Amino acid sequence: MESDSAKGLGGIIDRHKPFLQELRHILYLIRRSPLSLLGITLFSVFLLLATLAPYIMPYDPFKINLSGAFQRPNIEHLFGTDEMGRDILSRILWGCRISLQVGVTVVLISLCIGTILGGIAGYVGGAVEEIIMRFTDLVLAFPSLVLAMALSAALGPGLNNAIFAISITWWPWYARLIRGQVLSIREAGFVEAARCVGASDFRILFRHIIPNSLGPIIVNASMDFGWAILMTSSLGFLGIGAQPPEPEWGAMINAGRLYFMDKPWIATFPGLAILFVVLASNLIGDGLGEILNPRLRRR
Amino acid sequence: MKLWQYILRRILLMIPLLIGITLITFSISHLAPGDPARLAAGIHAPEETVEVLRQRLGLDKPVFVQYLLYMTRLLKGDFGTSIMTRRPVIQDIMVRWPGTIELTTAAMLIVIIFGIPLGIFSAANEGKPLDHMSRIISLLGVSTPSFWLILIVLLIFCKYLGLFPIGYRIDPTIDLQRITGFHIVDSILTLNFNALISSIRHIILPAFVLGFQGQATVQRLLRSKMLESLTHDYVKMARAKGLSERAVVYKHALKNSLIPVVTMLALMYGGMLGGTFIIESLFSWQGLGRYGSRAVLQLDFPAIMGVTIMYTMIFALVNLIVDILYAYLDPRIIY
Repeated sequence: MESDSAKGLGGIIDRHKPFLQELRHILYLIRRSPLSLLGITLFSVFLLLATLAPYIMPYDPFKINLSGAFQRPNIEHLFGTDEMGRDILSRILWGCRISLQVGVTVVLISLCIGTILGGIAGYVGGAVEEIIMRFTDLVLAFPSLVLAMALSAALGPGLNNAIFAISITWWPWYARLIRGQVLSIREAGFVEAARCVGASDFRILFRHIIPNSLGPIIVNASMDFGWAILMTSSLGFLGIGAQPPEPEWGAMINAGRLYFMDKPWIATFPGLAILFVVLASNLIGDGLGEILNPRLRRR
Repeated sequence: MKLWQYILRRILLMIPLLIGITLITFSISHLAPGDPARLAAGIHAPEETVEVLRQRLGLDKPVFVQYLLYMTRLLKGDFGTSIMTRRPVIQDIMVRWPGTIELTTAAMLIVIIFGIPLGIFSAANEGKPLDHMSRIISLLGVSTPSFWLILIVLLIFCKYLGLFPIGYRIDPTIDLQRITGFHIVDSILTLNFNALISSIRHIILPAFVLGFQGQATVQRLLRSKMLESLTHDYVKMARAKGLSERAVVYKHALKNSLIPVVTMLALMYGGMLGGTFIIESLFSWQGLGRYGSRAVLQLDFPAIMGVTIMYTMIFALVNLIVDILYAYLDPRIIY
């Protein structure tokens, strides 16, 4: 069946046949795992909400209306209003964009630093490896939230500084992972072959070895996405991440905590939003982990 | 190499680690905006005082000399003076660290008591409804922001049910003699049962919240490691020998799955130390976390750096202990 459709597209599909078969197999496995399907669905919903936020927000998320403050959830304000009379639903929708961006940025920055340093350490070896890996261990010696807090305090409060501080505490995990992968792939046949045709070290490392070591890293990245959102919102909650009036979910909970005992809706809904985004990321990571782990896979 | 030689080597390796840690904290405090001498003297201090302080702290010298001075001060236990409390940071830390260790250790107990049995249970019942349920609960646990969970827990258990007191490590009206600074230990040592009950009642909620995420992580890790172990040949072998399912799961699969869990527990201790920043400030818990989070908000750098170094040292010590345990647990490790 597959070869019939492939004829039309010429050799391209033929050439990538093993990859396509693998992809089909993975899609099949995803379909069979209800939890990862749930994760993908949840994540798509958040992605959709973030994209459409400017069009579907019922109110301006920054508009202050003191006479309408502290409204319980009602028909006009589905999630109620906060201490400044701003519509909580609109703020959460706008916060979706912030959180998804934060997750992607933190993972990308730490992945980039980690890949470059870990890749070089694993490929070059020797003293370079020793220096890079000892530095990695050193950063890991700090409890990550503590280091992130100290760094963002030094850089000054704000969302971008918080993102930077968190990425700085997180790349060592990727460096370790990538180095391990590179070490195990370095001696593989296809690397030898690339070396024989005269590919440069740079090309061998970044075009041959690293793309082939991304499997387990994708699992980690998809879980870390949620973790990054949790960390950023923790900093926001402590008052050193995103600053009001920015509708970052952690900062919103921080603002609502003073009134929580009497007016719990202000902090409850942003909390639920964090919970579900992080849950989606964990479900996807979990599912991918199971799919990519050959030991659990073909049973 | 003998075990004691390994331990000695690990302790000696703490020295370069400490140098590295202080290098990083030193660079971070240099990143901070503002004049450190002015900050230490106070905003309204006259210019001469600032100048004297600048010379005394060596802030007019080249950077590497400053680092050496910083190191010698640290070795003497001088972390500087806190801007908020106007007292030496080391004194503030000495008063508060037992509170944090007590809380984190109690949370670790919660992690072990709940996480390990639930993980085993989940793996032993793989694919059954109960397994799915405990997996969903653990996923929810990993995904819940702890600062939000605290608010909910406070609302339910303290406001509506009135089961637990809000805030502080012990009922302030109870008199407790300070021996170790650990309230639970002190009240046992002085046979003060009122204090014991009060401090246990105060610690349950914060420890539960702090450990909640961790127990979910342990449960998930143990489950997946157990399932992996159960596919190994030695398990097939054990089954073929006719061992009962109980023996296969608990004796063979569990033992081999616990090692990564022990590593995870050590890492988690670090994560929970970070968590105390949030939990302690919400529960008004007299500990380093609350002190640290207030320091961060007030940009009190001597205090921030003191707490950071202290936390990192506690973390390093826990890792050291676990590594030694690890060498003991896993005979394959050649130290």
